[in-house]
Amino acid sequence: MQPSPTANATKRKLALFESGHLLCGLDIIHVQEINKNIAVTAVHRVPDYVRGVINLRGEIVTVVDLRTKFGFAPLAQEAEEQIVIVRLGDENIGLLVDSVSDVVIADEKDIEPTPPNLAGVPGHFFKGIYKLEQSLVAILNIEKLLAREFE
Amino acid sequence: MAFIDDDETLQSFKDESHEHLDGIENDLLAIEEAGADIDLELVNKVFRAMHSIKGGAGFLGLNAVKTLAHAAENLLNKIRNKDLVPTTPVISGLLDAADLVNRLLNQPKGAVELDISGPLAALNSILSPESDQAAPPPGVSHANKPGTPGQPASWQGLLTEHSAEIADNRLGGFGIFVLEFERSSDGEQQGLSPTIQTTLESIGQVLGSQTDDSSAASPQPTYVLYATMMERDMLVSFAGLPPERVHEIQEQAEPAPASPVPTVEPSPIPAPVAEESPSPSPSKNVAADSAPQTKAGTDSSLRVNIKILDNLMTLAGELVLTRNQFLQIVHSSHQQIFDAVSQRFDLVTSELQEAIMCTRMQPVGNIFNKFKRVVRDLAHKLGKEIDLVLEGGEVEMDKTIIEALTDPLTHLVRNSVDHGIETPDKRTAAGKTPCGTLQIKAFHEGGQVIIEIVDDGGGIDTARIKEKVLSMGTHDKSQIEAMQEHELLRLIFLPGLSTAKEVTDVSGRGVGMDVVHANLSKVGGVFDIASKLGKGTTITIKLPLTLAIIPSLIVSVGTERYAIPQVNMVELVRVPASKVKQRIERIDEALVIRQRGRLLPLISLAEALGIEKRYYQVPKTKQVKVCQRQLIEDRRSCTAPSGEDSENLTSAGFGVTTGVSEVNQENRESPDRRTSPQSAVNIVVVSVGKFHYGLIVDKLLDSEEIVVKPLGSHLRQSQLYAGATIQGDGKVALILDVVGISKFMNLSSGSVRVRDRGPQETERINPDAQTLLLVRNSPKEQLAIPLNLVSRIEEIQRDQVELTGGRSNMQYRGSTLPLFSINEVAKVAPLQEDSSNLYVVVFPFGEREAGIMVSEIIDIVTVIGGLDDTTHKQPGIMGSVIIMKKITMLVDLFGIVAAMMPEWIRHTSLGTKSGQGQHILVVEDSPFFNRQICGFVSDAGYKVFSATDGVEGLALLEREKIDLILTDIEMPNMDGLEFTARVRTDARWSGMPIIAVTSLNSEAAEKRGLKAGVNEYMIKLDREKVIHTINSYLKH
Repeated sequence: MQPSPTANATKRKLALFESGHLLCGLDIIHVQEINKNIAVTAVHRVPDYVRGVINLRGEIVTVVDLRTKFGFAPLAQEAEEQIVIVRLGDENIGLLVDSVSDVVIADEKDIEPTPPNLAGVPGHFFKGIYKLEQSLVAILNIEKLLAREFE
Repeated sequence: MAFIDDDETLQSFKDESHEHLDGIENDLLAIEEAGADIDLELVNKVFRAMHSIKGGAGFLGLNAVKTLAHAAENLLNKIRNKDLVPTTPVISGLLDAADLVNRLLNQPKGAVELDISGPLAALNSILSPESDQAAPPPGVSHANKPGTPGQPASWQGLLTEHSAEIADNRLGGFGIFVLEFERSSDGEQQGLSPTIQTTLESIGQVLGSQTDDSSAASPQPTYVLYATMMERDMLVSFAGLPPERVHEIQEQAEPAPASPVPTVEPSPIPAPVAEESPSPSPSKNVAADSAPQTKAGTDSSLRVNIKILDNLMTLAGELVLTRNQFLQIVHSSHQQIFDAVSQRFDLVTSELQEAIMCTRMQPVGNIFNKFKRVVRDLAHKLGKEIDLVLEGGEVEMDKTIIEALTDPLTHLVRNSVDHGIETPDKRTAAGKTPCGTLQIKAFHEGGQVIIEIVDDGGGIDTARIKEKVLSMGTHDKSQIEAMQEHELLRLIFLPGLSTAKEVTDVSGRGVGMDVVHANLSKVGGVFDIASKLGKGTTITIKLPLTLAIIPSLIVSVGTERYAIPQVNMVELVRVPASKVKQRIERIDEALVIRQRGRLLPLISLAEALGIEKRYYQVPKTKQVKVCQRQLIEDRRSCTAPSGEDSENLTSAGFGVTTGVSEVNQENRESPDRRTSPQSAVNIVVVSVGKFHYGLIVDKLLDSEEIVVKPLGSHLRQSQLYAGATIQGDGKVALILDVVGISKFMNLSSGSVRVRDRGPQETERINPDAQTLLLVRNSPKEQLAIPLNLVSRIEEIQRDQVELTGGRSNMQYRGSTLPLFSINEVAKVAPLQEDSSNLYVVVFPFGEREAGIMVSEIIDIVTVIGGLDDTTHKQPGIMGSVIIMKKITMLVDLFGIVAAMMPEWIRHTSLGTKSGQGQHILVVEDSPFFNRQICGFVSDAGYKVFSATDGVEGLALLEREKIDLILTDIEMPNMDGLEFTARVRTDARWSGMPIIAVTSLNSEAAEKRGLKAGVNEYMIKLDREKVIHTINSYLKH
C-alpha cells in the first residue's frame, strides 16, 4: 500500500529492532533489506564501531555495529545477529542489530521529542520517541548516526 | 519557437560540439603551421565544425555560443577565400574563441554568463581592421568582403521593419542576408520577381523587400531581406548575384544600451541556458576562471566502437544461453554435461569481461593532442622554439586512468617547456640547435603503459636541489650528501620545492610536483626521473592498463585474507625457521632482513593491522584462542624430520623474480638439517617507487586476477586499504595499499638508508663471497652454478622438453629456449630418468637465453674462498669447492654453451679475437678467479699481466704499458678501492679505464667503487659482459 502524501504526513511505517536494551525504530523508507548469517570480514585500523564489510551481491557494504555505536557491551558470542541494510546517500550501509522484531505504523502525533540522553546514548542519534502500548521506540536519525567522524 | 529545454538534446549537442572543438584545436594549429600556403580541405573542415556548432547553438538558443561560432566562421571564410593569411594572431584569436565556446558549453545551467566580448572583439578586429568595431551602425555590423566596410545602410528601414522576424530567425540558427537585385535584370516591375521569390523561398525565407527609390543608380536596386541556413558563398552562387551584392547582416556583439534598433535585443523569453548579455562583472578575465569550468567538463559519456558493442551483445546472448543450460542441469545433474557447461560459462564470462573492458579503453592520443596547443601557447609566451614530437598516441588505456593523467601530464609538459628547454640564445650559446625538442611517447612494456616525457633542455641542477632542500630544512646536510643522483632528483616531489630561479606564472612556485606525484600514485602510476645537467630531462611514468581488474597475490594473516597488487611486488622471500634468527633482526625498534648484502626494512602485516598478539576468532565456534606468536627475531632455530629445505625459490607462476639469499657456509653443519615449514617466515617484498620493504605475512596463498571494488565512505579514510575484492567463495578480501602501510608504519627510504650503512653491514658482507646455486642430478654428486649469472629458475614437466634437430628445447615466453644438460659436455651423472619434473636454470648469453636442466635444486649458499680450479677441471666444469662437506663441481655455463652452441660464441664478443694485443692488468688475490679471468681475457686476444694485490698492481703499472685495469675489490695489502684511488691520483694514469670485478653485485659496494673512481662495476664470472666492456673501452 502506497500511502498518499497527506496520509504520509501523519502516519509513518517504522521497522522495529533491538540493540542492547534499546528498542529502535527506523523509517521503512531507509530500509533496503534485512539479512541474517552473512559472513562479516573484519577490517582493522578503522573506527571501532565499524565491524567490517560484507559482500552484498557484489557490492562491498560497510557494517556498523549499533551496540558499539551506542556504547553498549557487545552481544554474547553465540547470539545470532541481523544486518539491516540502509540506504544513505549513494551507498548502502549495514546496521548490525540484535534482532528485527516488527513493523508498526506510527502516528505522527504519538511521536515525542527525544530527551538529551537516552539510556546513556546521545539524543542526537534519534529523531524522536514513539510510544507503543508496552514500550518506547527510539526512532533513529540515520544521517546523524552514520555521519563520518573526521579525526 | 522557444528555448529547447530538453536536457538530452542539449547534452548530445554538447557532446558533439566537444568533439568538434577537440578536432578544431589541432586543425587550427596545423593551419597556422602551413601559413599562407593553406590546406583548403583542413580549413573547410574547421569551417564546417564551427558551422555545426553555430547551427546547433542557434537551434538551442545558446546565443553567446552562436555569436562566437559565427564570428569564427566568418574569419575562417576569409582564410578559405585567401583574403586573410592565418598568422599567429589570427589563429590565437580563433583558438581563444574555441576555448570560450568550450567553456560556455561546460557552463552549468543558470550560471553567471561568461563575458564573450573580449575574444569576439578580437575576432572582429581581425575581420575588419579598419573599422575596428566603430564604423558599423548601432545594432548591426557587416561582414562584407574587404573594400566594402560599413556599406551605406540603404536597407536600414527594412531591418527595423522586420526586426522581430530577424530575431526569431537568428535564434533558429538562420543567417540574415540582404540581397541586392537590380530591377533591370530582375524584372520590370518594382519589387521582386515571382520566379526569384519562389527560388529563394525554396531554401529560406524572404522576410521582406524594398526598392531603393532614392538611389541614384539608374537601375534602382531592390533589397531583399532573406533568412537562410546557407552560407554566404553558397547563397552567392544560388542567387546568381555578384558577391558584393550579397550582404550578410551580423548581429551586434554587444547590444548598445541606447540602441535604436530593438531587433537585436536578446529574446524576451527568459533564457535559462545562455543569453547574450554582457557579464555583470566586465573585468572578469576569460583566462582567470578557466580552471573550474574545464574540470566540470570531464565527460561522463563515452563513445564506443560499434564492433565492440556488437561483440558485447553476442556475448550477452551466449551468457543467457549458458544460464539456461545451467538451469537445465540443475534438474538433470549429469557430471559430464556440467563440466562442459561450466567450461563454456567460464569462457563466456571471461570474454564478456574482456569486451566490457574494451569499451573503457581510450587512446592516449586524446590527451597527447592537447599538448600541441599547450606547448605552442607556452613557447610563444616564453619566446622559445620547441619542436613537439608525439609518439604512440594509439596506445590505449582505461578511461579513468587517462582522465586522471591529464592534469599531471600537462603539468610535467609545462615544466619541461618552462624550465626544461632553454631560450634560443641560451641554446645557441650552449652549442645546441636553437629549436628545442620535446618528445612525449607512450608504449607498452610488460603489461604496463609507459609514458615518457623527454626534453633536450638544461636538465635539473641537483646542486640547486641540494641548496633548496637545505634551506627548507626538511633534510640535514649529511642526509643530502649521502644521496645518490636519482634520490636527489626525486626530492623535487617535496612540497614547496622549486628550482626555478624566477617565479613565472607558468611554473616555479614550488607547487605542483608533489601534487603530480600524488595524483599519479592514485591511479597506480610509478614515477621516475632522470636528468643530465645541460643535456636534458627524461620523466618516465609507468601506468597500469586498467584499474578495474588487477593481478594480485592473496596472502593471509591469521584467518584473514588480503590481496597485494602484483604491480607493487618485487619478490617473495621465505626464510626457514632455522635461519630466521640469523637473517632477521631488530635495529632500533625496526625489523630488518639481510638480503643480498642489503638490509631491507620489514613490516609485520599483523602488526600494521593491529592483529598481532591479539586474539583471533576461529570460525564457527567463535571461541577465542590465543595466538602463540613470539617476536619473530626471537624464534629458535629448530629442526624437523622432513621437508624440502629450498628457501626463496618461488614458483614462476607468480611472475616474480626468484629471490635469493646468502647463507655463510660455516653455518651449515649438516646437509640433512630440515626445517618445519610452519615456522618459516614468508615475506612479500614490495616497492614504493625505488624504495623496497618487506611485508611479513603468515601464508602466501595464490595469485589471482581480482576485480577491484570501492570501499564505503567510512573506510575510505583508512590509508591501509586500496579497495576490496570478492573472492571465489563470496568472501571479501581487502586490497592492501603498500604505500599507505609504509606511511602508517613511518617507514621511509631516508630512515632505511642510515641503517643500510650501519657498521654491521660492512663487517658482515664480504665482497669476495660467491653465491652459488646448488643443484644435483644424482644424490651422490653435487653441482654449483654461480647465482649471479642465473636469471630465473623454472620448474617444468619432463614432457615439456621437445627434441628438435637433435637438440632439446622448450617453449618459453613465446619463443624457444635451448636446453642443455650438464652431462652432455662434462663427465657427470645424467638427469634422473624416473622423475616427471625437472628444473631449468635459465641464464642469459649475450642477447640470447639458454637453460640448464637439472633434476633437483638443493639450496643457495655463499662461499668465501676455497675454490679449486685444478683437480676437477674439465670441459663444462671450471673447478670445485667443498660445500656442506661435499665436493661440489662448479658448472662453467660458458663452457657448456661453447661446446653445445659454437655458433653462438662466434656472434658474441667472445668469439672474435677482438683484442689486438693491448695490455690488460688483472689484479685479483684469489688464485681461482685470477686464473679464470686471465684465461678468458687472453682468449679474447689481449696480453694479460697478473697481480695478486694493489701493491703488486702498482708495481706492474710502473713497469709495463697498461691499457686497461681489471681489479678485484677485496684484497690483502692494498684493496681495490685504494688501488683505484692511487691510480686515479697519478697524472700518468688519470684516464686509465678501470673495471672493478666482484662476485657480489651489491649496490653499496658499487657505490663505493664508483666513488673511488672505477669506470664500471661487473660480475667476475660473467665473461661475455666483461669482454664486451673491455672491447668497448679499447675500441679506439
